Amino acid sequence: MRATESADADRTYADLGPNETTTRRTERWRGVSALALVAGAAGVLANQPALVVAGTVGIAFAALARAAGPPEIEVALERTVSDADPDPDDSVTVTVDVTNTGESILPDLRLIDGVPPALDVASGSPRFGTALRPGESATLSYDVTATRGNHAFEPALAVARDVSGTAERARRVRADATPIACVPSLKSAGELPLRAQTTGQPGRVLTEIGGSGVAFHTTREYRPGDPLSRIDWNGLAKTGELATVDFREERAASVVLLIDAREEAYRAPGPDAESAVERSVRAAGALYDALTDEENRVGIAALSPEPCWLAPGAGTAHRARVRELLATHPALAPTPPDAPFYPSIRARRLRRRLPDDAQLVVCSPLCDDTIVRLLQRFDSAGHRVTVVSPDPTSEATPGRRLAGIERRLRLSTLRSASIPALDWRDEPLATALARAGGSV
Amino acid sequence: MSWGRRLGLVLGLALVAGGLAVAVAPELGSGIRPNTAVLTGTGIAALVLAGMAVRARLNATDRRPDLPAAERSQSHATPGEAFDRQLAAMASPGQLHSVRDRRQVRDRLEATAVAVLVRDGLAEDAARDALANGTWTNDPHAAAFFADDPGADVSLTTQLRRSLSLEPTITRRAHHAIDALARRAEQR
Repeated sequence: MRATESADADRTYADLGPNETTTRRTERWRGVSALALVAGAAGVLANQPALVVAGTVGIAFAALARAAGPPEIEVALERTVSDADPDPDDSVTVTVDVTNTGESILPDLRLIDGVPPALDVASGSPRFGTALRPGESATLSYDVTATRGNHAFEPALAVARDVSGTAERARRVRADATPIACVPSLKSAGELPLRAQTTGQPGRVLTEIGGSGVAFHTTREYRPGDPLSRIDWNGLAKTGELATVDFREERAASVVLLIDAREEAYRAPGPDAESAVERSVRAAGALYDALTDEENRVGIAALSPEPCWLAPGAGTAHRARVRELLATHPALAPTPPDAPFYPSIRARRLRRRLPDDAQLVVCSPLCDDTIVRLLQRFDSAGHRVTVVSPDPTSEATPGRRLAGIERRLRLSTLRSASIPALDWRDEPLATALARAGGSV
Repeated sequence: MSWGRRLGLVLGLALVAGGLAVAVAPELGSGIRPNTAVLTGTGIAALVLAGMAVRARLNATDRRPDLPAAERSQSHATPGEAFDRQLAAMASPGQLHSVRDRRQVRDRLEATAVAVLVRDGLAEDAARDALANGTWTNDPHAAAFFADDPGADVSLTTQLRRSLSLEPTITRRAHHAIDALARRAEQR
């Protein structure tokens, strides 16, 4: 790509595009002419030639500053990572080799590596200052802590100054590197009671359909062919009439775990806390594990500008696909999307894909009213909804307390529409599920 | 560089070179007779220029561009931050947007208050009446935020304490209203 050049000093270096270059004057020697003039004036007025001569030193520096130009940045970066496929919380060492590929010396080169935005630097520094002769190389290295996601590196920022430090040129420099892909395993976190919307397959979701099972449903008139084990013998002894006991049938459900990954869901109770989307993704993984263990077919979808859909299924291959999708799908990226989200369009597309008998388990922080209306529409359209809501609110300021009240009101609105909603506070999901005690 | 500046630079360099030459070999300047008036004028002009340069230096803003914060991962917003900003803007009467912010803050708080009271079993009209009459809470500051006649039940002591407080009345009332709503919301 051809480098483009601009000299807008008001722009931040963070706004520079890849391979874009900008120059500016550092104003390091600004004011030296004032010193020179004061010295000269004092020398003339006090009739002290030595002072006038001393003033010329300042003049020399001012002239040098005026004449200086920033050096061209022609550097090549080579970035390597110690582990491109780490587990969560693993430390990954990033090593960057920088080589001066130009023909002039770089007397003052500063480099800030493009650390992926969702990763924290654990030790070392991604900033580096050096001087490089043509062909010479230098190395910097630092450690990052791996978190869920596919973390691509951004272009590094190189800033070079001339010898006097008066003028500098900045450039974003690309370096090819394997992204760090961290794919957490799926860990079950407890049972979530599902709605009584099931498929025809046997499973473990209690339905309101009478038949064989364990939980009592009704007693009905005996029909020829009913199994002997379900005949109400006590009733026969008392009344002399034959009756059959029906139990609630247990069937399998088709569940789609829907993750709210709109920009509005990337909220956290503090600057260092994980976002509600991160917690939702973790919850989806845990629920997938628990629900498929109970013989349900489970799929994944996201409410986000980027389409994300995996049809309900089960089995080892499906599980591997879910694990990969939850970790690396762009719709579930650790950083919020830039593109706008159109609720009606996305909801219509999702409804077209949902199997008729599928119910939804939605992971959403419920930070706005749009999501509540969407969920009510899904529920009334025949896809029973259960909500698991990670709480991103805090009590620290009046505004945050107000947002907390509004969120509690949204939970109440859903519950009053017979949509079970689990308020998942700052606790493990298993604790929240246990606190709900089998009834969300 | 403009022609004027270029000419000035050449003249300046020539004078500096001449001055240094005389300083090194004083016999070169034997023909020059120092005129006190010219020297004083030159000194004063240099002082004036130095003053201008110092002033320009002091007035210069720091235009260092922001560098990317590479060490920390991107942090996420907390729900309610925008409302806190609006509350802060509302408290500064000099700001252009304070009237709009005031209306938005009031509308949002009122909608939330009505929703909380409706959830507690009041009809919407009754909830609005309770807000207007100030009967929905025991906190006089919270009641005053929505009340039609906010000053009616406030004692002289409270008014005196309020006048000594640095926090603007509207902000204080909003804070109290939010706390009262939070208490009500938590009761259920």
